[in-house]
Amino acid sequence: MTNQSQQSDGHLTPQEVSRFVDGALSPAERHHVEAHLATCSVCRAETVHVGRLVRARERRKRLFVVVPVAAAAAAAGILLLTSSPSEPSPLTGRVFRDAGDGAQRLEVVAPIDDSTVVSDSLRFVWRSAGTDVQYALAVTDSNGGPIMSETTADTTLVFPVVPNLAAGQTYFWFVDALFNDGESATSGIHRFIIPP
Amino acid sequence: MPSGSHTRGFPASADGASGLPKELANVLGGVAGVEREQAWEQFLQIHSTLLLRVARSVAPSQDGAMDHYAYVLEELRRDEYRRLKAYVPDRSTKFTTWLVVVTRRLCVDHYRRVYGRPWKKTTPGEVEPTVAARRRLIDLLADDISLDSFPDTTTTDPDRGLRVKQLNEMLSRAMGVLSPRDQILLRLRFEDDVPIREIAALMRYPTVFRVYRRINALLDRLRLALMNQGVDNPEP
Repeated sequence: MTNQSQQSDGHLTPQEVSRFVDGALSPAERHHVEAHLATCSVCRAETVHVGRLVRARERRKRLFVVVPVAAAAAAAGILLLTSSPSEPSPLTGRVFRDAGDGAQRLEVVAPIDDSTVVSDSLRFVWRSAGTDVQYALAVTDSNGGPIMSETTADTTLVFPVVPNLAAGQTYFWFVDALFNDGESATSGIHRFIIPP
Repeated sequence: MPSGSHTRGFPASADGASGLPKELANVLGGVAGVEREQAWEQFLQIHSTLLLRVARSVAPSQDGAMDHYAYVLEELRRDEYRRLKAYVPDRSTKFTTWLVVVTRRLCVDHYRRVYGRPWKKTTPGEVEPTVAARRRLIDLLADDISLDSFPDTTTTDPDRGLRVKQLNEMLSRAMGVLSPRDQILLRLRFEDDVPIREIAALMRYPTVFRVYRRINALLDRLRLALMNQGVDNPEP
């Protein structure tokens, strides 16, 4: 499919670059693409940049996958606390660390865990992770279903109108800091409750 | 810079059988008008975060990112979605990766138009090409020599300049006999200053240690090749 020659400007085609980044090239295609990359700094820079963007996206997707597990873990933790108040929930911590790739945690300010918030004035606040950082915030229901997600360069996100938040339900949220070099840090999963 | 407008054949039917993502098939297969507008909105609902993230990674500011984002949307829609039609379904790779490449190319093109100079990613660890080239030689020939002690390639001393040029030519020749994959490895590390962990991910090495070991082996080979050409000192 992609063993055609380079495009008219002499660089790799988008298909070749994406297949290289995804590791999907056949041996013959790989030979052709690598021969070009060995001498073309423009395409090399492109593959590095695209690779960073794609991996950062995959890390965020892994977080979304982990949220349902974390929600279940949180529920298990509540059960553990009910039966044995002195024991913390070890599962929640383990799941979270896996989700964050061992990255440093962002410190959240509001809403604090298990606080009740009015759904028509949702306001999320966290501490800065430095300059030139993008933050990606996500809110999910207890099944891990995404309710909303947003990115910002600020350390505050306010949602004036938030649909789909049911009264009396607990919701989960987290915010990731996305650094220029493709690295990320996460707040871990936090909870808030919509009052009945 | 590549324009991302490379055109290839596209399956005549933009339905599920074409292997296209559903949201893309709807855009390309829909009848022009309300139906297609709705399909486009659905496409954006799914991919706007990704497009915006790419725009932000290229643009120098938040306002610039929105400007780039708007340009990307305009270009993707141009000529009946010509750019999107260039996508060839491929089971072994992701549409989103392809979309990142195309979006990035559009953003880089837009940056060049707006700012009048090529876009270049700058990171805290990034070094100028001249310094990078010098560091490459230092790594090859004498690990314990400080960067400052190595002669600048911009020297005004003609003899010294000639010697530096010869050294670089010898190095290029020595690198030229390496496989393309090994050349990429060295260039990513010593010219592009890419972290080892990223090189491992990009080049599909199972661990970073494999990358370190391979680079060390390659440096040994290059050092030997240069010594065989009479180079035993990085000082010209």
